[in-house]
Amino acid sequence: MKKIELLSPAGDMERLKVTLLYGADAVYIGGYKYSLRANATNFKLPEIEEACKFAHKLGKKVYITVNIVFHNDETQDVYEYIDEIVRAGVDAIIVSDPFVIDYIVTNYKNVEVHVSTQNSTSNYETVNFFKEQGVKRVVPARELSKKEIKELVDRTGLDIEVFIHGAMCTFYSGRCTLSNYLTNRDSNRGGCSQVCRFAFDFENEEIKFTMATKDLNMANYIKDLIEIGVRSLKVEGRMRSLYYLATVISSYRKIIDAYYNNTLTEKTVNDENIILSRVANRETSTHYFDHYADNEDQYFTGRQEISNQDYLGLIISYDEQTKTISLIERNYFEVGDFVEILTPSGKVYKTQITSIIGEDGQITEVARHPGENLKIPFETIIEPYSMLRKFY
Amino acid sequence: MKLLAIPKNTKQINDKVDGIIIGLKGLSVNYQNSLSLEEIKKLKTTKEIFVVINKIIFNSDLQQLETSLVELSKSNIKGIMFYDLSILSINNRLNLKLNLVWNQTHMVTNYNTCNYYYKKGVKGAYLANELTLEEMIQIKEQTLLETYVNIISKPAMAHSRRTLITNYFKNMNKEKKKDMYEIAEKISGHKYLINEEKDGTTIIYNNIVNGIKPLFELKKINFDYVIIDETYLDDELSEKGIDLIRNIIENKINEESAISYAQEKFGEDTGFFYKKTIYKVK
Repeated sequence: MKKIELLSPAGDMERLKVTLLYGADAVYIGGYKYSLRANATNFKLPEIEEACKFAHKLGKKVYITVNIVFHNDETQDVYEYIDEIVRAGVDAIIVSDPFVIDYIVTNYKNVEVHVSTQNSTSNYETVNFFKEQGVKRVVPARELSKKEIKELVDRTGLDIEVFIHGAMCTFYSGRCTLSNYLTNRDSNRGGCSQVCRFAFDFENEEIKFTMATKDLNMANYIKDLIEIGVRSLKVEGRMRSLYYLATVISSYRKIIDAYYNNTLTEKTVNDENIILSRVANRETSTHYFDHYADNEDQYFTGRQEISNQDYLGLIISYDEQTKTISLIERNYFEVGDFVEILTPSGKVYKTQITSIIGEDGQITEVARHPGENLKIPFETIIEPYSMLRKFY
Repeated sequence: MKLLAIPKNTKQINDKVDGIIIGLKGLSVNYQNSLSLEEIKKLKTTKEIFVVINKIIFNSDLQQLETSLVELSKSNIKGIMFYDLSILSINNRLNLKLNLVWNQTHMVTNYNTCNYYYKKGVKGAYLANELTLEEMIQIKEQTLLETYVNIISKPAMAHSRRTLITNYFKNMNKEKKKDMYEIAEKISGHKYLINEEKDGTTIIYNNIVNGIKPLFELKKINFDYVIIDETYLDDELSEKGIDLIRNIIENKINEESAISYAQEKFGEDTGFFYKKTIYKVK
């Protein structure tokens, strides 16, 4: 059985490297044009080349989004852009507008076309239509059940990629222009202003009307997704933090590997769910996968989004002579705190802060300036891009 | 140029329209006037009849969809306005030769994709309400597809599979008393309609988008079909809108008078006809 792919978002080069190091098999990025996250950092051409080289050296892949719904003006130089990103070495292009599919399939046999969830593909007839057009993979609508996804796999033979973690849209992708009408920002060209998270007055009711959804968390169903033949598991969040991505990718990597090693237990999933809940800033749900989504899957007024201060620092190096870790502080911590070090290999070290050395070389009791370079003593060699976090 | 109406009912079709657009029961959303296959076949009119199939199609809908398309291919309807690509796929696979109009609501936005669908056998494109007039003109000039556009309407803004009204009331331990409500955004004061039906929830812009001024430009380039959506208009306004558009098509009213009259009756909101959306804010 071909091992399922773990696909991570990457909003910039650092996040790309970190997610690949933490266990993603492939990353998806936005280029400098035509991406549905127009306001993310996104990658310029030399960065796309660098990203591809970095990933390919690790035997991993880079997919790039060209998934806006095009207006006439944007179609003028899209072919030139595709030529450039193909030359830069991308493995697949994620598209929503079919005229783009036609161009890639006709001109590039070695680059896969993946149909974006933006198309809300929801049945096997449509998947087979895309298959006939030369598409290699479809990311279906996020409103599908396990049974419906399995039918897509069984009745098409095409690669099916499924979202497993992150924020969800309230409305069908491609079928929401609230942002256009309320804020003049085009949601289908990357300008979504998340109007679905606004609160509205509702006739004579006192309680505000909201329609936002809880986030998605499919940790409990990875086994099911593997066994129904899904090809790729996708994490949402090109604009999420380094720590969030490292944690989420690391957790899903452990669950997937445990499945293939025949060591997956309820405890494995529960342990990882505890870790995942620590980086979550909203409640989560499985939405349509195992039930018809209802009020329990929404986020009503009164439930507050949580600000997360779990992440204490990004480890940048280890000095074997002095046996100290160098890190960039992200949140307050102090001598005596119990902490964990999450490493790209998935190994987690638990320890207590015994000393903190500030940028000026002076010993301090507290780390209270996020962004500051600090050193802490630690006996074991730690890889760069490891993360210091709270231990509860 | 032809005038189509999305009527509230098909019992009395206004004589001044060239055709009507109706929903198909079970396969259309946000179409108050959805008929069954049998009802469509029994429609007694010489007008062009377009059937909208715009529901998101799931695997469990495919059998009903295929049967419906086969039946409709034997009827005398003028065409099918389709959202889901399974409709195009079934039409081609079964060689049904239906006159298909690409109608993916907010995604019919450029002539390259129009031309892509033309090559796949599609005959028309129902343009997105979120386009500017300039973009509509470019599309008409650069595609062989017949072009359709709303001139007077309260357009749909978003559609969800979720039962958003039911969920809202459930969260308060209450039950919804009707399917359509009005919601309001506090900062702008704008009001919107929210309509829940079996297949999900639609949010509708509660201003009339008045496209009478752009209609004169579209007429100059022989735009094929213009549409008045009567769904959320009262009967009197619908009739006035149809009369006005018919008079414009037949050169019976001058531009200045028509625009002034339209502003008085339908308001001055021209939607996106003269307003470009942005998407990069940095």
